[in-house]
Amino acid sequence: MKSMVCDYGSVEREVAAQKALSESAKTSEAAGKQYVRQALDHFELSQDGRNHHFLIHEPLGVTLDFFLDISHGSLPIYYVKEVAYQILQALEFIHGAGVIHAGTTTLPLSHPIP
Amino acid sequence: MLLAKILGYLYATVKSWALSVNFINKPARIFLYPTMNLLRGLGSTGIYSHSESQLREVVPRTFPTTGFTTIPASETVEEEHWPWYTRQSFYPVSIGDVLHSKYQVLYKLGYGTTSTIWMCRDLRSVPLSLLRKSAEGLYVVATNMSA
Repeated sequence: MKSMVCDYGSVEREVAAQKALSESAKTSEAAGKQYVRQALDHFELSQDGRNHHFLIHEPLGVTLDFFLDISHGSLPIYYVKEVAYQILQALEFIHGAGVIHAGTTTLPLSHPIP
Repeated sequence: MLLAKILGYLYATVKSWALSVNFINKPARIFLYPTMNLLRGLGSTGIYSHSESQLREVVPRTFPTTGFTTIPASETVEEEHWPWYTRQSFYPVSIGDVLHSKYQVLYKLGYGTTSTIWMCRDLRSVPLSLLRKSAEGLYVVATNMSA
């Protein structure tokens, strides 16, 4: 669950982007949609007159950042190629939904929970 | 001698072709999210994906109120260290809280500049079955479990 601050403009934008992705995932045939973690639910709660947004996501696995760390900063080339290919497929789906991912780093990339 | 040369040439050609189309040294495919795909396939995650009749209420867990050390309220922790942090910006999430009548907070996973992340249980969950994979196939170990 992502509990978001009440006074930052990009929160509304993120909620809108997640909704666009969930909508698009229902009909999209893009192979990359399986690599994008969807929001399962969204709700708002009021606290002292301020409105807070919450997003429910599927559980995130171990991040690529973690794998980079335990392998001392380098990964086998076939692994990198495969991951790069999947990232591009994921971006293809995201762009198809009319959303731009502005922070493609190793941190939001996760590996499955075995 | 010539035959050996021709065979050698043929071998090199075939090998380079096989390499180019990834027949040799083909790595095992790596998937970033197969667990989630499996869950999606089974319809066990995603409140949109199954009917209301499948859902059941799970009793919230009770968490201990003693047996741990309490730090002073004046001491800052994690996102509170940031100079731009204001108490009003963040919703006061506590472990054990049930939000939106559905999601019970279990523990904090992390924080960012505009959010905090929490592991939650969906109290309106679909009963789960635990399957074990063997050479003969899948068999059920336990049924009617909750997350």
